[in-house]
Amino acid sequence: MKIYQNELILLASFIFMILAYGYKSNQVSTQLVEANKIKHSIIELKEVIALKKLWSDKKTSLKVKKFRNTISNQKTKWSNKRKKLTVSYDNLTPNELNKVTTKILNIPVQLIKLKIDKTNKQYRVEIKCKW
Amino acid sequence: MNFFNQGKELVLIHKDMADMNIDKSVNIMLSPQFYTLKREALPVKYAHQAKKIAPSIFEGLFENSREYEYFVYQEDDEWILIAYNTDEILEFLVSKGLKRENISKLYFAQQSVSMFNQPMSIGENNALVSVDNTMVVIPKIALGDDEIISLNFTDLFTPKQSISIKTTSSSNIFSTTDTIVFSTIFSIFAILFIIEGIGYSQDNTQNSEFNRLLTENPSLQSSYSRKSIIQKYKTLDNLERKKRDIIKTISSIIFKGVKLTNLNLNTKKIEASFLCTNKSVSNKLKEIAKKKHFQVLSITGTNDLLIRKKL
Repeated sequence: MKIYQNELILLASFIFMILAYGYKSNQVSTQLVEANKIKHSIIELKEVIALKKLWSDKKTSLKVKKFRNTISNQKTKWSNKRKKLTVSYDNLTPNELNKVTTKILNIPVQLIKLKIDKTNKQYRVEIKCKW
Repeated sequence: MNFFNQGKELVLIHKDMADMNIDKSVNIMLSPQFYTLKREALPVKYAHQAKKIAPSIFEGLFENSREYEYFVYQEDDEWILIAYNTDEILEFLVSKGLKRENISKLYFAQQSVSMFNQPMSIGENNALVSVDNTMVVIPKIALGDDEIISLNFTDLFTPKQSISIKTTSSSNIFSTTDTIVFSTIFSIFAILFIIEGIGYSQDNTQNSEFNRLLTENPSLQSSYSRKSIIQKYKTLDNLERKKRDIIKTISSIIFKGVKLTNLNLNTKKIEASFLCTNKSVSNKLKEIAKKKHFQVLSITGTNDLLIRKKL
């Protein structure tokens, strides 16, 4: 064995280098897979957070309250219970109709019903929504 | 102190020695029969300088001085220069039954001259003697019987400096220098790879962002609940956006001569009725509605249209 000690030392150091390279490569690929996984999870998380923020916004109730002031009370029948709104309007002018529809469409609520009927030159509107 | 040589037997080698039966690594001390010694006062300071000029000092002594190697060391004001032939020494050792791989270090008897304070018998006819501080082999008959004693040759005779057997014989591909250089390079690369690998394994920048998001939103810690929540909100988001887009489309297709008379949105569909002033307006509206992927129904006997889309 001793006469080949140089070759053995070289072989051992070479194998050590190869093993170290293998370790490094393994760490790189593991890290890459892990990073992709985490990246995907972060995107998913951010998406959930954004959607949750939009559709379960605590300020929605406040926005709905403000929406009540869009049209005068005489033309409005308003019922707001437990995050559910039922509202109907009578004798709306085309401008008022535009105002009501634009506002309700910009509030993040689930529209269950939107009914618009034209009688003569005025409109009757019925809205049901929840959030 | 040489830790590697600790515990290794020191064997004195001389020409008249019997065959050896050694099966372990040993150190070898060579009698003067295997080397030529010169003592010179040289104008040099370092051993490597003395070693360089050693061949010229021995010039003419050997048939082919190229086959010789030199070992030098300083003793008082003089340099001790020893010329030896490795191949010759190895050949002899192998012929005496010592395996080459069992030869660890080589020493010269001259190096331990102070230990040979009395003549030492080597073989039947010769003795190893220190004469004027130089080790020589002389016939026993030149000494008186009472002078020859059986000197106890032990590991204590091992000098500090040694020479290693050069591994440049045909069985070795790499020299010791090559081995040191290449194995050092390989080891450095290996260490760099390991450091780099550890660096990669500890890189958790994204992990910290992920953990921060989870800490801020504890309800989303389980991936199952995350998937179920995302499914719920995605469906809701898509449906509500679709409703709003359809309503905007309906309002955008109203042009001069067209009046919206009725719009009905529920959870399943959206329907809208239009009053058209004449046939051409009705046809134009029909065309536009179809382009926007509405189902279009004409109300019999009138120019009015009903358009519908499923959610």
